[in-house]
Amino acid sequence: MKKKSFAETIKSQWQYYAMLLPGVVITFIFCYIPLYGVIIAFEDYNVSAGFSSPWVGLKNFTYLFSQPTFVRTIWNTLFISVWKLALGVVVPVTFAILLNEMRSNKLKRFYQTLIYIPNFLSWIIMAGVLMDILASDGAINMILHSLGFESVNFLGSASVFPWTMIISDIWKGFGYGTVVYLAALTGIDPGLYESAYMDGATRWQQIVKITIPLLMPTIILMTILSLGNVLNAGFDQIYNMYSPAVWETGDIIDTYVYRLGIVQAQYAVGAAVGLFKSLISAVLVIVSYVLADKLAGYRIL
Amino acid sequence: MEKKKITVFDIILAVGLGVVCITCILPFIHLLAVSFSSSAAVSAGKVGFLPVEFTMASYEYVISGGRFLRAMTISVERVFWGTLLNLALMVLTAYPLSKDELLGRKFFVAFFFITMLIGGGMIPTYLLVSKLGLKDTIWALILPGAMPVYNMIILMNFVRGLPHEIEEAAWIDGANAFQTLVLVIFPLLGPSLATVGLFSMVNHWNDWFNGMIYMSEPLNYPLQTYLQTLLVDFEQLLQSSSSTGDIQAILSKMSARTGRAAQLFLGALPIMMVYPFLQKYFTKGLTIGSVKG
Amino acid sequence: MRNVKWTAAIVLSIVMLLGIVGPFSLVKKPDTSSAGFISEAVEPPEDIWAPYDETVVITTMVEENSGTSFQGSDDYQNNPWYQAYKDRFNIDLRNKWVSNDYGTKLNLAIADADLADVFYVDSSRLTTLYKAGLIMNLDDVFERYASDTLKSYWEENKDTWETGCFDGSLYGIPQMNYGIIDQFKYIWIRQDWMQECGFDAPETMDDVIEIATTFAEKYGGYALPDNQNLDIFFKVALSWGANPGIWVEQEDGTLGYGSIQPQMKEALAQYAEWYKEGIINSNFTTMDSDKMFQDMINGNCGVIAFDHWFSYNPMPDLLTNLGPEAIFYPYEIPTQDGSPVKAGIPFNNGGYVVISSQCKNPEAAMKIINFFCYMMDDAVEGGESTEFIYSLYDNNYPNIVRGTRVINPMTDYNQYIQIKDAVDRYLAGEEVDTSELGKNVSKFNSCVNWVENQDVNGVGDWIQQGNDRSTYGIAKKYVDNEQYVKDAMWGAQTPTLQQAGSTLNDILIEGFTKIIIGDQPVDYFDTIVEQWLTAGGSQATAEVNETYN
Repeated sequence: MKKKSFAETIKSQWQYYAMLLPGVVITFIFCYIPLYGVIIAFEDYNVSAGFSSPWVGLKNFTYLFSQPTFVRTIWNTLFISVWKLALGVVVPVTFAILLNEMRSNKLKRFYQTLIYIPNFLSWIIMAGVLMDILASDGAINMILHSLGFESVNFLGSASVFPWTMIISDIWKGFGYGTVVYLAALTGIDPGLYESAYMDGATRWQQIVKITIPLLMPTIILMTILSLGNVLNAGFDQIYNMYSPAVWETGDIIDTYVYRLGIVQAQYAVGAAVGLFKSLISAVLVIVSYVLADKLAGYRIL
Repeated sequence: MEKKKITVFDIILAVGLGVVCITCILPFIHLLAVSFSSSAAVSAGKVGFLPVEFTMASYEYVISGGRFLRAMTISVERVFWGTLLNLALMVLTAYPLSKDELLGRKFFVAFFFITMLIGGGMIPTYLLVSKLGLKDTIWALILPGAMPVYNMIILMNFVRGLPHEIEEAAWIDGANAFQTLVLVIFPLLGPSLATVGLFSMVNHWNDWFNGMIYMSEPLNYPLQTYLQTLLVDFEQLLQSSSSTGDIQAILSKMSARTGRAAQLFLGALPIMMVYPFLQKYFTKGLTIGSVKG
Repeated sequence: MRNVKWTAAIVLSIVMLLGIVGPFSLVKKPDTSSAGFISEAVEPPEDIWAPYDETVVITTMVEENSGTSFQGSDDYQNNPWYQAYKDRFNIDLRNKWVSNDYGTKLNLAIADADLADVFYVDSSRLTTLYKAGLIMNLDDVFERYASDTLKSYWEENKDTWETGCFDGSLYGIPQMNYGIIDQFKYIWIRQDWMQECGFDAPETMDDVIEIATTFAEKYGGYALPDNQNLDIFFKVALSWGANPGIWVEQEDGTLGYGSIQPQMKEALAQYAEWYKEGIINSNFTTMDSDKMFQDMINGNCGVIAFDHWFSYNPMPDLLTNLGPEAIFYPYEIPTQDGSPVKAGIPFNNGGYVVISSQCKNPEAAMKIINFFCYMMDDAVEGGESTEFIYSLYDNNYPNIVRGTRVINPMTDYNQYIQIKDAVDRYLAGEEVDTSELGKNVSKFNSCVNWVENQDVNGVGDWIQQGNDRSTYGIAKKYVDNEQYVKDAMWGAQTPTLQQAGSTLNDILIEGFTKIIIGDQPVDYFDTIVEQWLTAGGSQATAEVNETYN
């Protein structure tokens, strides 16, 4: 095929651009125009002066980082969210594959419905239920006790608390990922399995040789997309379950900033934190994108 | 597919997964039990998975006054148009972006992706919606989130995974890009559209904040915003120390927790009923009529 | 050609989709929405109680309150209050918006420069609006149009009134509250156990502990509860003369923060000791208030230090669960040295009514405020019918006018005297004419309901006012003897306190918790104070001294 000139390319692709137009316009209006709002991160913002509030440069940032406990919240955030991220891939993928291995389609569909249900419940509600179950006299400690283990202070011990958050978050959210991976699995041509079966491959071999490689692009896509959220360790969840006794390990950036609760400077400090988080996640996403592309040859975008 | 023998592995698998699945619905059953129990039983921590001292008081309180139904219709309206617009924009955007040969593709992908990483915040968005005159219209609930980028990218990758031969066949028949999209690609998107459509619906259904900031009139609140207003602030009630009559009788039986459970259950019920229906599409249709890759 | 057709078809279907949604949407713009309501200036009548000749339209912004129970077709726009403004003054009050997240909505409205004529704000927004020139100087309009009742509030609460002034001029009318009588703390003790064990009212903290530990030994559970916010500890600390959470004058005449004074350290030392001895619930760090109350409701604990509203929550649930004999009565918190206990009274003003500088008829706003004061204080004397009073006060209707009301801070105090008297007469078998009780009649009825039917919905009012040992009965004595310490920071927070926000409190709560559960020795208190001072506490102290001393 001969190389087309720029004008020719545009001409032959105008229909694609026409399709893109509505999305681009809407996104520009509702996502790009409001971006001027980030300047309040550099202002001593008050609502009446609006965006022409006095310029204070990096003061909101230095203020944040000079707070005695802010840096510890960054580490807590990273610890919790990196684990959530890792398990948030492994668990749904495993579950989707196992579900896919099930023979009965009816049961499979039924299970799929059940695991999505926690997604319909907000953390406020879920926290109430979990606090009952995880209490020192709650169901889980009862079970541990009857099995001869010592009871665990799931919510009150600083060393256990982050893990309680990680595991309960995975448990609540894995239905979402499972749905995505299952949808991807249905895209795999059954013929592949059939010929593998003919060749005498075991189920395990089929999973390793066919399912996982074909699922890889989706896995990488979902991982990189969730890296954008790495500094959001789950405000709703932690806010509803933590207590001063576990701030040492459980206080994350968002809960900390929320407690700052400053009526006046809230928006400015909030915007500063938002910008800080945006920067970090942008770097992470770009790095992971390049790595996936260069090292593994996956282009997700 | 021909029948394969059911092995021990299959049984262990079914039982094992079943146990995990049951833990997922226990909180929901607990919630349901709480919503039908008396406040005294709930605040004493007596309610497990069955109602104690059965009462419908919470439901009477939430539904009484007719506002519940109105808020529900507004939510349905919003979910319908909102999801439709989401799907239309997602498909229209995802399809061209799935074409590697598209000139400026990288630019457009970045253009959309950036919005996932950074936002202007609540105030500028509000001012924009206000200046556009969208306040107190259904548009305020639909337009600002009309382009769900995350789901669009998932969709785009589904489209990219489709075999090229299907499209090529259409081109040879002389179809243009629009025709190819509508007649050839669209029918193949069943499972992925059902997936991202479900996410859209759940988002629209569960969002209460936009309803709160963009609607002046409580009569215009969507369901979740309305339910949010029912979260009884106990201190607030105490301050107004003149409460009397029927409402007090209901409130006495309905502590914040039972009321919340009822509202949550009612709020989640419609969307949960849609879910199994949509789910049918997750598991069928992608391979129909496609050319093997 | 086909290309064009396809494009047209898709564009057309999108346009149609958009076209259909708008006009047929259920969502209807209210007539006062963003377009703004232009009201004309109207000549006010001479007499402040007289109606305008022609209808005056003014706008407000309304905080939704889920406790309000609308009757029939009433709503926030059509209700007896708004109807009364129309009937009495020919004022048409329109809601610009109604929201249950008033603070957020108000911030957005300020950012959008789209304010109503009259509305309420908190102290920090009052300053913001004043500095931005968005609200009116009320000196003249208050002088000319405020009723005598409203002016009497000003006379009697000048310190609170000051907080609504800038440079000596009034910009925000303080809304005040039902009175400091509801701010006191008590030791609550379960009565059936107390009688069984034969205890008298406690006179020292040791008595309280003896009662509590005896209960725990005899009936199981634990002696004293607490929660992760240390709510109970901060009340018990009053016994050592500590003033947690408020600013108080120190011996050297300067103002200091109560939570970091030596009395707190003493209280902490004893409290940590109690924790070690197993007197305090060992799981308190993971309990929120609900969980703490849950244990009380289940009968795990018979003593607690708490606010007056313990009788409203969780007492009704508790009595339903454990039977009416399990009722808790309030007792004074005994002090270490036997001196009278002094509760800290934080600055607790319900907000400020402000008038937009764009408002054409500010006197109309004053009339609305006057009317509320009149209905609160003078309605019975003014010959208003009982039905009319009920129509405004039942079903929590006063919440409707949350943004345009000013409350007499003696309201609850006077109410207590009236109700206690009526209940006593009722108990003595006399006939009580409820019409003379006006808006307070429902309190009286609740008390009667408890006495006659043991209806748990009445127990709150009974313990608050009707019983011989009532919270307000004890509190009235405190008020009459001036047995309290007012927060020296009587007004808005200083800039550093606003800035540092919760950081300062976090340091204290986290540190105190560590001391109580034994992670740190008592002397760690000095380290916490040091941290507190460097994190902004010393600057805050300087500011508070400069502004309020």
